[in-house]
Amino acid sequence: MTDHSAVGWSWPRTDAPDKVTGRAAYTADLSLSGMVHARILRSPLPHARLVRIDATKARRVRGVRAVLTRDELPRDPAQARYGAVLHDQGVVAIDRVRFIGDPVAAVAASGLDAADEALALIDVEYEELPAVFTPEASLAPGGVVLHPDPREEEMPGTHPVPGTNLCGLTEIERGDVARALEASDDVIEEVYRTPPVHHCHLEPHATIAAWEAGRLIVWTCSQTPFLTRRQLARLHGLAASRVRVVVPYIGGGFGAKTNLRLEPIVSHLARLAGCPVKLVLTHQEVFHVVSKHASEVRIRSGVMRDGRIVARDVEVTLDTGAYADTGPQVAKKCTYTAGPYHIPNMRIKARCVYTNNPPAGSFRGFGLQQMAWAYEGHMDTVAQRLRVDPLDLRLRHLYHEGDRYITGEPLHSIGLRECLEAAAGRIGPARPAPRVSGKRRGRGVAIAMKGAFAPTTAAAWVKLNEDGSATVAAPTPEIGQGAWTVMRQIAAEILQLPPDLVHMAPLDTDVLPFDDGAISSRSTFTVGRAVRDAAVRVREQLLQLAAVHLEASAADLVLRDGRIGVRGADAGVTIPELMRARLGRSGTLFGDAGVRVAGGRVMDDHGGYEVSASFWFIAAGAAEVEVDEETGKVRVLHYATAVDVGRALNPHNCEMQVRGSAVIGLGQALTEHLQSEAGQLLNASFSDYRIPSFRDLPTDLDVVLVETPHRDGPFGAKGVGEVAVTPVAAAIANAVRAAIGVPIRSLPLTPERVLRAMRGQEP
Amino acid sequence: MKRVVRMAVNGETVELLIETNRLLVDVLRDELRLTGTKADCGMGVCGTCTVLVDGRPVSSCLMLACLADGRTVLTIEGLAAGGRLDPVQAAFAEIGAFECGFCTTGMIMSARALLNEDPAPGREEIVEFMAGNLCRCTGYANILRAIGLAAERERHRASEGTPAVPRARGCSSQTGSP
Repeated sequence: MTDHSAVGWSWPRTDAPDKVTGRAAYTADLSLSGMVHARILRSPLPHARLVRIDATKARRVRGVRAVLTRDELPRDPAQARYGAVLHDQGVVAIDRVRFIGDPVAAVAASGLDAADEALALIDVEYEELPAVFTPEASLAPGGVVLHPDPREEEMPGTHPVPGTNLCGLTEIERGDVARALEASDDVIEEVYRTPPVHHCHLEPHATIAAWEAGRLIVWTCSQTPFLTRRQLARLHGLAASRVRVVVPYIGGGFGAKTNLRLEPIVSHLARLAGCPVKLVLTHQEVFHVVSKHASEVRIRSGVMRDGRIVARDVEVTLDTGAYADTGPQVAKKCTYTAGPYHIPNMRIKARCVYTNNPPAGSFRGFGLQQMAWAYEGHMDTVAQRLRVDPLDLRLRHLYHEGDRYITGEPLHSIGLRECLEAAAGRIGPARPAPRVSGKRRGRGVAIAMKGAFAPTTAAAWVKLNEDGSATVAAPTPEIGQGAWTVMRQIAAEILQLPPDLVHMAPLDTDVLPFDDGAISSRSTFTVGRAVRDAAVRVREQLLQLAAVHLEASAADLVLRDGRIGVRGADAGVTIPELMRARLGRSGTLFGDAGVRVAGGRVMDDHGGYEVSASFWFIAAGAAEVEVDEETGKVRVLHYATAVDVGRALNPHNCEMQVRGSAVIGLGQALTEHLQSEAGQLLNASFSDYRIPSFRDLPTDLDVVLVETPHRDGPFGAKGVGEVAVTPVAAAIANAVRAAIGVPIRSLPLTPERVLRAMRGQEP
Repeated sequence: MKRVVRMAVNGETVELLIETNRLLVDVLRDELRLTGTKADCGMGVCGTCTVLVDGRPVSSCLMLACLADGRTVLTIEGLAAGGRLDPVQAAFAEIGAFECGFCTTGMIMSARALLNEDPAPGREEIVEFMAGNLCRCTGYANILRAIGLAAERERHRASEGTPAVPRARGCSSQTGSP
């Protein structure tokens, strides 16, 4: 890292001026001429046939411009249903409603009062059907099937089982688990559970849609603008390029703003109304859009007396609610989440199950949080059974560089030991509680490893303008993660430009190349590489021009701080001077690059393996807690997390992402639980669903960035966003276990649950 | 039923004829196009709609616009005076005390109110005052640092009579300018 480096510095954020002044525009801040406002009518029942729907009276309300019911949808079911994996969700309810909150109709009107008035006049007749609220009830033989009709696949490979409520079923095995368990000295079996929780992004979902000369334009808070465009185009029977998706700033997503959300309803309303339509969800509605999968993980390990874990059998069941959303993908990801331990015989089976609860989908971590909760609690149980230290047990079994994962793929750039030792080292040995206080203290650790998905592609272009500034077109939305800043840094590093001369092109699918989206923590690694390669192409052209201009050979040229000089000579030229001299007054240099990260089957001398990840990133967590013996309240005294990011291109951004992710983990460890009864959400608002506030921070929260450079990442960088949330709950539960001597296998660790555990009752 | 509401918003007198059931947050955002103030929970819990009414922080989603008649309202747009960022804004930008930014304007307004009331708050005072502003992205630590930094600079300015917005460190351009 030199004075001339852009990478490795905490560059000031691109979006700082906009965000501190209030100029930053989010979708709900936008206004179009002639725009009207929408509201959704939602089902009050968890499962019912939609017998009749009559919007005649609603249409007559003054100010109403359009009403959308199933009658206004195309006859062809393929154009009336969508879904990220299975097309099982109607734009509005078609034959049935399947959860309390399921959209049944929508109204666009000149004002929200008129829209609400119209909603109340839509006449709906339901015929109730039996409803199921747990995967167990849902899979019971002879029960009601939520989606009996065949569903088209948007994404193949997750194996839904027709005629059942199983919408995803995947399994993987290495070695021979049954035989290894049989041969083990001891088998330890446990069940771990997590409840549904919510992303709680502060910006509610918002979308504006307008039709112009047969083209559909949407302004929307999508983390995946190109996937949104493609899916929306299919829904309207259009070619993808006939749909334009523009993404303003996004007020947090964490996975809740991917694929399609409000766009189907709003685009249909806009079509019917003949003018732009805007929909902003209410706070309570947001909790009904998508949440994180509740899970049950059955985990069995075979161990030997000498302390080796030789076999592991895992069965995961996810409650995906009324619609699959990305559930089957999350379940499949769980299948490929074998943990960071080198266990020779492993089997993982995952099931994704429909219920009449609100839908669950992508959540920061994508299944790893649920798996790590089980794995890491289980490791402490195994350690106790084997009478070894939990930290030592982990260190003994962690993968080494080059080891083969459950898929057979060789592991590269996995700073597992560094992360675990760094986090544990920050906590140090457990401090004994002061004698008088009626408190017990304990220390716990956890570690989790995530693979960013593969295959994946990305492309970017870089334009060098006539004034010597560069414009970077990187198709990654700024959801708060600082992606725009790091993309600029990468281009600046290659082109040797200062921060105020590198700009981002706005995010518009008409102009930018295709990208899978700001998901799976992939942007720096994938899009960043494309930006780097595109900037290199521009740099090559620049040096060629300079070689001619300075009458030197390209090998003797030095590019630094916006100026090209000749090694060992005084001759030199600034970039703007060079462009004007060689390209005339209006010169521009342009470079573009595409990146393809391969996935799937790779053949080698040992028969081949499957590449399931573009890179691995790791988070270790260590917690010191204090438990009140009388109330069961858990206080986190000290939490430390170490994350392997490959290379910290912007250390400040990395630290922020890790800290924010860890605090979400804290909330989900201690207070967060999206509660429902018979499908009715009970705490769908911030006043009843507690996310951490300023008051809920641990006394100390340490963040350590570990760097094990990746050979393919831009300047060695990998990803950072998701992983820090994943070990938090387990680290805290392990600390509580050390404090009270009892394991707790369900979340959250509320005082009631901890007290019950201490009293020997079912936690 | 409509009423005339006359209030000073960011130093300018504004006169509107509005329905009596309109909320202040909606009138600011829709009629006055001051979209820097955000709206989320609608129940005064998240703090994204925080504005200062007669100098006091208020959840504008809980206040009827008509009740602002005769009062002064300060929103995020009114904070930067004469093109220069308020020290709280500058500190947030310099430290990078934000991520998605949706809670940021409300945070800044609450912090501004805090420092107006108490120029030297300790960590506990800041935590208690700011507890009504939620953030999901940052983990709060850098927001606490930014508020502390702004307080320190304002106290320095008060004692020395110099401006409290310095050049940003570590980079060649000033991030603070709007």
